[in-house]
Amino acid sequence: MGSTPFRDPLLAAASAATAVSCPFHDGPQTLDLLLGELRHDAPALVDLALELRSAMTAAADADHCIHLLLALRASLAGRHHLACYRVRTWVQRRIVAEVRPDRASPWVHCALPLDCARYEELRNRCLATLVENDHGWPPTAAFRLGFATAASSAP
Amino acid sequence: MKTTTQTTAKTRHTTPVAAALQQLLADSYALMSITHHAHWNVEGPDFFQLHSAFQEQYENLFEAIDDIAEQARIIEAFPVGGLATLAKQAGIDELPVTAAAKDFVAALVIAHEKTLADAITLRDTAESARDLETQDLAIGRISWHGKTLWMLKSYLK
Repeated sequence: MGSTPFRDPLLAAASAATAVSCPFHDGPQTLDLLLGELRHDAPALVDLALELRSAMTAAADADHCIHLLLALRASLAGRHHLACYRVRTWVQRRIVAEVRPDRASPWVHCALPLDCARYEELRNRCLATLVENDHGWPPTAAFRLGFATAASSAP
Repeated sequence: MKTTTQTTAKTRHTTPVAAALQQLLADSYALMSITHHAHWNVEGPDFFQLHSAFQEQYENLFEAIDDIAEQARIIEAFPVGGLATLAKQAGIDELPVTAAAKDFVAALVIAHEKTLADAITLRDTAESARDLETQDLAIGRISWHGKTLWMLKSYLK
């Protein structure tokens, strides 16, 4: 969704409606939808979804959120695909992955691959964006996760 | 004799109905584009049925965006087109180049939901303005998006 102001009054009027976050794939209501589908499911799954909701709302530890999301996805084993997809989309909008080849280089955004099975796989795929000429990523390469801000929204 | 500029200034209206038509146009255009993308890039055992289904969907959307834009002209508004402009206005995320078939379908469900919401807004706005023809167009789009959503969601069950 663009934030550039429109000179055309027609576009400006229509664009105002898109300024709010979309409820179909954004915000804690995505987890509420999933919780609604899980209400007859195993209590452990419900607890996991609730813990993820709390962690995302608190926005204090992005790594913990990703661990919870991947654990939830593994536990669901393909069930409730649409509800889980909405949650993944929200997380992708809220959490930013960054890599750098060494400490002297600036952090660079990379896509957050939430179709991974494990955290290590996610980390490695992010670091793989630093690979050049099939030599692998530098041993000094680093990876981090954080919450998107207005200035650093997810790519 | 009126110049084109004068005529444009006098007949161009920015009404709630025109704005709602413009939003539906932008999101329908974006949805058509990502449906086409899914049609090209979907893979897996369900390739043939999804490839064909997505083609039917983007073909429907291609005709619909023309009807929506022309309805705007009928009510004396000027719909704004152009890829970059519509992309800025649309509230629909683009798809990754490759994804699991179920993820393509899930993403399209979300995009259809957004477009359906636009059509409902248009219907209600047109009703308030007693614009029955625009309301009729919106109701047609609501029906189609509703049916498409039922089919896409059924695939994911």
